[in-house]
Amino acid sequence: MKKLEFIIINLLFLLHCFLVMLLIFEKGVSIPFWLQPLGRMHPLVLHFPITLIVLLVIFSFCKKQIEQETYKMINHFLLLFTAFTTVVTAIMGLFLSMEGDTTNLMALHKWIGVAISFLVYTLTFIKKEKVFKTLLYVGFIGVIFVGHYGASLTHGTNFITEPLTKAEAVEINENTPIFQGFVKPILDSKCLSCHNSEKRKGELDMSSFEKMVQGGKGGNLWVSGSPEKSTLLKRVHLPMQHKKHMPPQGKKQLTNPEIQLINAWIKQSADKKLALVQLAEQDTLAQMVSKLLAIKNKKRIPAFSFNFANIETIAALQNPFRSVIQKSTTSPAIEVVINGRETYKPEFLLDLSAIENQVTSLNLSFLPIDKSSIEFVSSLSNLNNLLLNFTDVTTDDLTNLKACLNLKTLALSGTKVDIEIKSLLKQLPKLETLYLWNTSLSSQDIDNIKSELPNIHFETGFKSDGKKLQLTPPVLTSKNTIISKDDFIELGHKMPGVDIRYTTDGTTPTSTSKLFEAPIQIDLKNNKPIKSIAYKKDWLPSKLKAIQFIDKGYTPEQFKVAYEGENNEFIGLASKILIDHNKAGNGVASSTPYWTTFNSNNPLNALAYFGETPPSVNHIIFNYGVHRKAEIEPLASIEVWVGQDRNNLILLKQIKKTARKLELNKDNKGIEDKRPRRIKIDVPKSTTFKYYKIIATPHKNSKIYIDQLYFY
Amino acid sequence: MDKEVFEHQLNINRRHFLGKMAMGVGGAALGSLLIPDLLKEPQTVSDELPLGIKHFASKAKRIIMLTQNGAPSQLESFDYKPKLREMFGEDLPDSIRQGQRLTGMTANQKNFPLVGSKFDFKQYGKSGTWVSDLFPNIAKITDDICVIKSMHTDAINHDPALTFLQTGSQQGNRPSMGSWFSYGLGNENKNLPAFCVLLSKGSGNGQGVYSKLWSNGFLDSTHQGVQLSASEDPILYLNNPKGMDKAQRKKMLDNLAELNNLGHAEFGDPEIHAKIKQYEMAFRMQTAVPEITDLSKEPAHVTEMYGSDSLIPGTYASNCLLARKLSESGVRFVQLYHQGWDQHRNLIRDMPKQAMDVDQASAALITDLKQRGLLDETLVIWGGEFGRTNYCQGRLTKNSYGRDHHPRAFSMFMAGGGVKGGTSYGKTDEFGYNIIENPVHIHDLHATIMHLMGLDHEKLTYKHLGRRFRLTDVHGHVVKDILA
Repeated sequence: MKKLEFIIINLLFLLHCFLVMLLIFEKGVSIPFWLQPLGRMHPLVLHFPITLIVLLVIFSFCKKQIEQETYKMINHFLLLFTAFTTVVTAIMGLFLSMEGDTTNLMALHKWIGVAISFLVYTLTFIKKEKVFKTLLYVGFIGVIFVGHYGASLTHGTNFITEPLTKAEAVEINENTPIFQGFVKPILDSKCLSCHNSEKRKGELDMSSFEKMVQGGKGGNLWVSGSPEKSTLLKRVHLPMQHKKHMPPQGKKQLTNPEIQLINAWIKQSADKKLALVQLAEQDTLAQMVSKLLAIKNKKRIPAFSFNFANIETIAALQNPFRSVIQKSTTSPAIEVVINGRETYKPEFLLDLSAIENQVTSLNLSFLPIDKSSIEFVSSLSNLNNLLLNFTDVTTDDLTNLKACLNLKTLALSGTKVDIEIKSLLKQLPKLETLYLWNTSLSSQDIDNIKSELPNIHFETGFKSDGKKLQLTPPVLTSKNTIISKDDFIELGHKMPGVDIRYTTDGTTPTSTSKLFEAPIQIDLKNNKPIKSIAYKKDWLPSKLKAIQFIDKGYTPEQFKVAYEGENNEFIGLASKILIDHNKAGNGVASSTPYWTTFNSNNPLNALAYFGETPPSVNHIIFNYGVHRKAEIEPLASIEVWVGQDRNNLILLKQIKKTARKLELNKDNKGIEDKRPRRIKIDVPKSTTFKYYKIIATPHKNSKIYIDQLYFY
Repeated sequence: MDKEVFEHQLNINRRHFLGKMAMGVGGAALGSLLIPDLLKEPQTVSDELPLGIKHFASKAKRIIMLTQNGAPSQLESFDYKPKLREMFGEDLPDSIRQGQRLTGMTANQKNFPLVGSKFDFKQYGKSGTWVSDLFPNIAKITDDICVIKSMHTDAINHDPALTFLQTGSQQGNRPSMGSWFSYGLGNENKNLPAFCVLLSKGSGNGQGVYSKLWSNGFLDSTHQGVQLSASEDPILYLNNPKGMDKAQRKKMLDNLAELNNLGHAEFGDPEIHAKIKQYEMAFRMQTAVPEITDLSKEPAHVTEMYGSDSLIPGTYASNCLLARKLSESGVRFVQLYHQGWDQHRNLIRDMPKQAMDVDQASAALITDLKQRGLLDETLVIWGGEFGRTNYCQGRLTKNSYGRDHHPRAFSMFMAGGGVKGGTSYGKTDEFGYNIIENPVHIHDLHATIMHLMGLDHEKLTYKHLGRRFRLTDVHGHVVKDILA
C-alpha cells in the first residue's frame, strides 16, 4: 500500500508538470497520430473524476459516522485516486482539444477542467479541514459547470433547450406578416437586449407587438402612417452623441436599409398582419420586402458537385508552361492556363485527362491549337470557361465543342471563325457570353446570330472608326549620335509595316524620299542632320524627326584624369565619360550620370595618349555646360600641353576668360543662355604628338560641367 | 498523529526536493517531446491557410493597378460639385473644414476661396455616372466601372500617402500590395515575374516614385516587383550575348547546372538549387518575354485603341498596352505609375494634358480586356494617393487656380474582377470636402481588393519580428456593396 501511495504521489507531480508544459507551449504542440486515440478516450475517462469528486463530497458529510483513523485513510486514498484520474482526464482532454478548432466554449471547458485538476491536487496537501471542505465544494461546483460545457461541446449548445425552441423556426414567404418576418428580427437583434420583459429600460418592453404598441416613458413607438412623428425613428435619427440616440453609442446601430424598411412599414400602416401579398407591386415597402425575400430564399447550392482532385495529381501536372490551380481551398474546380506558343507541346493539353472532371476553366490563348486539341477539350465535361483568343482554330475545328454542355463563356477573339459558328452555338445550351472581337464576322453576321440566339451575349469589342491617326516619328535604333565615318546608323519604328523616308541634305523628306531599308553610313563632313518621317497606309505621316550626328574624331588609346570630378555628391566618372561618345542632354541636369563637374580647387586635368603612331590632330573641341543658376561665366582658363613624353610636355596654347556676369532670363529665375559653351582649340598641323594634356580651371566658387572631349 | 505529520513534513529535505524535481523535469521533458518546434526557429510561413491557393472562390485572378501619382483632382474628374461653382471665391466655411489640418503649403493662406471645376460634367452610361469633359474615353465605359467617391486616407503628403496606398503603412518598410499577392497566390505563369512595375511621366508637376513602393519588405525577395525598363528591351540583360545562340546557351546552362549539382552534393546548401532554378527561369524568359513585347502579333487597330503614344516606349499608353499583355500572360500584379498629377498651380493648364495622357489608354485597357473575355478575371484599379482641396491654393483668377492636397475625400475607380460595374459608391458633402456616406479607407480598399482576389485579408499573414503582419495591419473592412 505504501508503495502504491508513493507511486501515485510522484505520478501526480509528474503529470501536473506535464500538464503545465502542455498549457504553456500549447501553440507549438503537435499530437502524434498514435497518441490521438488517448485524447479521444477523454469522454470515457471523464466519468471517473466526476464520480470520485461527488463521492468525496458525500464522504465528507459522513465524517461524523466513521471512525477518525479509517476516515482519514479512506479519504486520503480516495483523494489520491481522484487527483490521479482528474489530471489524466485533463491531459487527455487537452490532447483532444488540439485536434479541432478553439472556440470560446472550448476554452471555458478547458480552463475550468485544468483548474479542477490543480484544485484536487492541492487538496492532497491540505490538512486544515475548513480550507479542505471549502475547496472541495468549490471543486464540486466546478465539476457541474465543466460537465455542462463539455456536454454542450459534444451535443451542441442548444441541446437541452432545443425541443422547446424548435417550433419557432418557420419559413418566411409572401404570406408572412412583414412585421413578424422582417421588422421584428431587426428590433430583436438591435433593441431587445435592453427593452425586454425583464429589463424594460425606459419602461419599454419590445418583446411582442402588443407590448411595443403600449410604448414606454418616451411615448408611443410609432404613429401609423407618419414615420416622421414616430419616436422609434426620431431616436434612431438623432446625432450619435445625443443622449437620447438609440441604440446608445457603442451598441450595434441600425443599418440604413433597416431604417428604410421600418420607415416604409410605418408609413404603410404599421399593421401587425400586413403581408407582402396585400401590397401593390410598385409600392416601396413591397419592393424592399420582395428583395429581402429573394435573398433569404436564395438557397446556397454548391457551385460544383464533383469530387476534389488529388493534391498529388495537381502537383504532378504543374510545369513551367502549364499552371493548374484549384479555384480555392473549398472548391474542387480547377483552372488551367497553358503559356508560351513557341514552347507548346500537345502533351501539355492531353495530360489534363487526369483531372478531366475538375477542369472548369481553360485558357489556351495564342497556342497552335488544332482539331484534335479541341476534341480533347470536349472531353472536359465540367468546362465552364474556355479561352481560345488568337489561336489557330477554325469554325470547323470547333465543331467538337458541342460535347461541352456546361460551357458558359467562350472567347474566340482574334481567330478565324466565321458565320458557321452559329450551328455550334445552338448546341451549347448554357452558353452565356461569346467573345468575337477582331474576327471576320461583320456586325450583320452578329445581328443574324443574335436574332436566333437571343440568350447569348456577344462581345465584339473595339471597332476602328476609320479615322486616320498620326504615326509616331521614327527612332534611332543604333542609339549613338557621336559616331565615326565607318559606323552604321539605323532608324526604326515600333509599328510593323512602316516606311521610313529620309534625307541627308537637310531638306524635309516627302513620301517619295529615299526609303530606309538597311543601316547606312553617312558623310559626317557635310554636318547636316538626318531628317526622317514615318509613312504607313491608312495612317497620317509622322512628325519630322531630325537627328544631328557628330563625328567622334580620334579616340585616345589611354585617357587619364588627375581628378574624376563630381556628380552631385558622388565622385564623377571623368576618365570614362569624357571619351565615351555618349552625349548628355543639352541642359545641365544634375541627375544624369553623363555629366561631371569641376571647381577651381579641383580643375579638369586630363592626359590623352594616342599611341606610338599618333594621328594628326587638327583641333580639340572642348564643351562645357553652365548651371542655370550660375552668376558668372564659370571657365577661367584652358591650357593645352603637348609632347612626345608625358613627363616633358610643353604648353601649346592657353585661353583665359574673364568672370563675365551672366544675363538673367525674363523671370529672373535663371540664366538666359543655357546652351553648352563650345571652345575650339587649333593645333599646328605640322607635328603629331603622342600626348595631349588639357587643363581647364573654373573661376573661384564656380563649376563647369563637362561630358565630352573631341580630338579632330 | 499530528506530531507524526509534522515530522513527516520536516523530513521533506533536500534529497526529497531533488528527487521530486527530477520527476518534474521528467514531466516537462515528456511534454517537450510533443512540441516539435520548441527549440527551432519560429515558423516563417503563415500557418493559417495554405499559400498559392485562394481562401475562397472568386472571379479576379490578376490585378492591374493604374496609380496616378501626384493625386489627380477628384473635383475635375468624378466628383461633381456644382455648388463650388456658385460659391466661386467665397471662403470655405469653418463648419465644413472643422479645423482639420492642412499642408504647409496652404496652412498660412489668409483665406480659402472655393473654386468649382472649370471643366463641365455630364452623366454617362445606363448608370448615369458623372464624368468631367477631361475624360471623354473613360466616360464611354462608365457601365464597366465602379467609381468610389468616398475614398480617404491618413497621410497628407505624397510620399507617405503613396507608400500607404501601396503597402498599407506610411513608413515604407512593409511589402507592397503586389508582393503580398505574389506571396499569397504565387504566379500563374512560371516564366514571368509575378509582380511587374511600369513607370511613366506626364508633363505635369512630378512627384517621386521610388523602388521602396514595390519592395518585398520582409517577404522573400522573390516577391519583389520587377521594374520593366522604358527602353526597347523592357527586361534588361535577357538577350544572349553576341555570338551565342539559344542552343549554346541552353547547353551552357545545363553544364552549369551539373556543376552546381555537384556543389550541392558536396555542401547541401539549398540556395544552390534556388540558383539553378533561377537560371532556368531566366532561360525560359528569353522566349516568353519577346512573345509578350512583340507588337506584330497585335491587330493594327490596337494602336488606334490605345492611341499612337502606345508606339513610344515609356509612355503611359505603351505601358497600358504592355500591362495588358503581361497580365494576359499571367502576371499576377501589374503596377503602373503615371507621374505629374500634382496641380498646386495652374490646374487649368496642366490637368488637361495629364488627362490626355491617360484617358484613352486607361479606357482602352479596360475595353481590350473585356473584348478578350479577361475583364471578369482581371481587376483594374485607377486612382491617386489622395484628393485635392475644394479651395484654391495661391491666387484665384477666372482662368487660373490650383488645388492643395486633400486626404479626407477623393475618388478612385475599379473595373472588372467581380466589381459591380456602372455604379458610384459613397458621397461627399456639397462642398466635396467631407464624406457623408459610406466612407472607404485605404485599409478598406486593400481588404476589398484582397477579397476580390479570393483572399481573406485577416488570414493572409506573415510572421516577422515576433508578430503576424497583414497588408491591412489590424484594420480593414470589405466593402461588400461594390461586389458583383
